[in-house]
Amino acid sequence: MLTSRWTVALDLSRSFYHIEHLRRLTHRSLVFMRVDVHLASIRPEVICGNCNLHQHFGIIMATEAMAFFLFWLPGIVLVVGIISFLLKKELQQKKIGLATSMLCFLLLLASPWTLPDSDSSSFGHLLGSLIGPLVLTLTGVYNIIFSIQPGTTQYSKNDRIIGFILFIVGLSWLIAYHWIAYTPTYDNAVNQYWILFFSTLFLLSPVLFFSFGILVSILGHNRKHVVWTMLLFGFVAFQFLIGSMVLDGSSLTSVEFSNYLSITILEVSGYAIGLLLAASVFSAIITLYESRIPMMPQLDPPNAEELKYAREIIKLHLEGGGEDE
Amino acid sequence: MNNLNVKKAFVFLILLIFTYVAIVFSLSNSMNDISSDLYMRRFWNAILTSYMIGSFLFLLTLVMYAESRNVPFAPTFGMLASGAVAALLMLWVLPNLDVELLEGNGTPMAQLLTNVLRFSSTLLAAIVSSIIVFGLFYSMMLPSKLEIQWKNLNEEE
Repeated sequence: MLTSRWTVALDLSRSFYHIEHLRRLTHRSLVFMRVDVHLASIRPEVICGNCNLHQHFGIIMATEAMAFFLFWLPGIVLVVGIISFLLKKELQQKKIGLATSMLCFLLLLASPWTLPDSDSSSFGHLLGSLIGPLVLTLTGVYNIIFSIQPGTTQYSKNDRIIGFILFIVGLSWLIAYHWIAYTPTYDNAVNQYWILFFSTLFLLSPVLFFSFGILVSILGHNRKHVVWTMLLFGFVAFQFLIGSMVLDGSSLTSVEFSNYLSITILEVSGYAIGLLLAASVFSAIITLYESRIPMMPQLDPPNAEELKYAREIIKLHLEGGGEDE
Repeated sequence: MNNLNVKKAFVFLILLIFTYVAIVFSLSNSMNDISSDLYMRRFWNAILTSYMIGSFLFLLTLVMYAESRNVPFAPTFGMLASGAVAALLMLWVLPNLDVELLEGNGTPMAQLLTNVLRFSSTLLAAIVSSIIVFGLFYSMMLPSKLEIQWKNLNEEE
């Protein structure tokens, strides 16, 4: 026996639906939700008046399938495509991996339009909001790296300046999202995935800057300027983090941000522990498997004749002018 | 660079990360009003989700990377089972044991999907942060044109 309307609604929605979606369904679905407590005792025709209950089942199931085909399947294919692009050796397979990844990425970006009722589309909205600042920032970093030695690469000194400008504009865009305006807002609320992204970005950046600074100070030689610059960058990033906890943003108060930051810290720690566990299990399984593979048959050490032959071959290669050349 | 220095750097790094996390957590925790129950739910959700996704990613890597060994069955099955254990824990075992993992979602599956998206957002932020920091670090570590000219001049003398 189903006891609450939420239970019934979620039971209908099953897997590819989040609870919040149901609040955004059409008025006909809302009528259905209000009466679904009595689902067991009232006939469908009476419940829905002029609309058919089976139609509602159809709407929900169709949206569920849509969410699968337009969001989750492209998401899985995107990951497989990226891994294929990175690990496959053949150029053809790399190209296919890249092409499918790009297509699936476009489908994810389009999810706020293709799946307006789904909570998953908040993530697509986040990707869309980030694409501008991230392209600027990452292009800037790329230009800065490859134009450090003008003359040795195709980049000139101007490219370095352009790189710095792009980097600063991109980063300012991201920061402006939080403090000034245009905070990624989806369905009349600040996008929860944006808050997570922003707090993680400013949680990890300072510690990475500090770590690189300390590593160089211990392991590097004559690189004091790098150490001080990395520590300075880390300090600035840390100030942004503290600033977000103390000053209200354009759409989030400092207390709300602190709440999210605490959760983010626990979440990132949890992810690190989970990934370490997975890596440990993976290494244990591989070690166990490798230890059970029978050893290769041991060959006898080379005799005098074989050693003489090897010597001749090595000599031929060292002196040059062999038959192959 | 000797082994002692590498060990020292590693210990410093671990200490730094723990100190940093402790400071930021204390600061943010002193300003918020979240129940410890919510903290624990998020923490366990994060562990289970990353373990599950990590297992499946390792499995995928195994399938893609182990072609030269004809994709051995035993480790592939082992990783599949490892990921499936976490998924089963989240979707079936823990809900049946009345362990509360849901945060605003009505079903374990909806919670799992939310967790996957949260993991993806965090991963995206970590990747962006790493690229920015490593990019700036790398650009500073490369010798500039002036440094190269100065070095060449000294060598000529």
